[in-house]
Amino acid sequence: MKISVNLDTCQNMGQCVYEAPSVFALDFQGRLQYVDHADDGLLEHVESAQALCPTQSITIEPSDGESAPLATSR
Amino acid sequence: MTATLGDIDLLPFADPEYQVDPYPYYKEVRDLTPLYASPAGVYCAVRHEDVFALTRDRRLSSKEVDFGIANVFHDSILGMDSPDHGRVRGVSSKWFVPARVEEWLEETRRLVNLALDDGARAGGLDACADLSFTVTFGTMAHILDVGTHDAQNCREKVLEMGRALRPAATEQDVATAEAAFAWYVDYIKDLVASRAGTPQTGLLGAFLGAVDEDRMSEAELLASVTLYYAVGHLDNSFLIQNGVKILGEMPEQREIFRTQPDARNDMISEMLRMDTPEQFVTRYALEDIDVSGETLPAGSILLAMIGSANMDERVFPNPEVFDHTRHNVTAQQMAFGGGQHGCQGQILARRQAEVALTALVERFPDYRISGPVIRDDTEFIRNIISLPIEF
Repeated sequence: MKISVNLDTCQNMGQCVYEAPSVFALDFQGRLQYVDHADDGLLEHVESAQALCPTQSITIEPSDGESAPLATSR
Repeated sequence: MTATLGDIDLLPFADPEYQVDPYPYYKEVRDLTPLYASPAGVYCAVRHEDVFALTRDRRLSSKEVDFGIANVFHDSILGMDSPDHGRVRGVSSKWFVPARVEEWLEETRRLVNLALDDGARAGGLDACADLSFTVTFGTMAHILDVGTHDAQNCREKVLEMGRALRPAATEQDVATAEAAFAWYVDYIKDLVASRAGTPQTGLLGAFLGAVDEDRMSEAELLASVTLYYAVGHLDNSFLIQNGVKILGEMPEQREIFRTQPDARNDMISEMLRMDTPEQFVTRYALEDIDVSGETLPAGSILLAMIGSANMDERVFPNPEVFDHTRHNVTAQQMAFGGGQHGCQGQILARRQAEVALTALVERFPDYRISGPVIRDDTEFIRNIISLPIEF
């Protein structure tokens, strides 16, 4: 899946870090770091992070979404 | 050294002088050690750097903290670790995101205007009983979609509960709080029962729905509603009344607040920083943890002193001066705690304070504090119980 975080609205509250620690982390200054691609096996955890985000800053694009079939159809 | 120095207790929680003004005591400890072993049987982290890191440290548990008479809160997010914390917080989290907060603020505005209308007729009001409490309590009731009956009891019982949740609580405090908890739980049970069979609206409806879907237990439902009902008007009301006091005492700051909307958020951060409503958060060490060279032993209780971190001159130079132009105040003040248990209502609390204080200074730019400011501080909670103002 593809993950993006709107860093303009993110306030580094770190709820996501507890739900999906292999995807989200806070650095030593307390700023959010994240990986933008993750295994779909983590979807449940990343969705939980998305739901818990106090500023609703996380967007998820599952890799089995529309983009792949669209690409092959062309 | 984490040891105490002879017989001198550097953080004398039970000392009335300490309770009124703990800040000089914090400073002394900050300069001496990052981790103070209190004779009260707890360890206190006092420097910003450590408090910040510790509130985000997974080796510290909330679940393992003995809440004593407040153990009912182990069925709420306050006393849970992962994964239960995420499961239960997920039920309510979307109710406090920015877009929802803007919806709730319509009710906040309505209540603020009612309070100011009444105050205008009377020539003034008590910023605690007539403004900060009614506005925050009414807004939370609106979010839960429940009534506001017995409001005065709700206010008093929460304060009684808070008096027992501190190191220097007396037996009398504990007995009073026990009765207050029992009262609250009955009140909430009635509230929940009254909603049986009705449409599942409001945050209470969301909790009831989660119980139906087996995402939450019945006990978690009761503890959660108790938590929101009880603290949904606590620290946010302290922030508002503290703001009324600060702007009342400093006309030049009031003028900035009134005329510079862009400065308001940082000014509210500075209000939070300078007199933090809850002075510490409590955790249990699951293993030995290094705190700037000192060891917090496994099995011990940590008080992460956010009230001290917020006055740490290493991070906030001249901490006793109100200065919203500090570059780091909004990012680094710690009044909302942090990490997993960072305050869920912080966006709401900030915006409520902004709405209430803005309405006050716009309508009554020359308001004055007109009588004695009565405080009821403990080593845990900084609370004003009466703050009369005149228009």
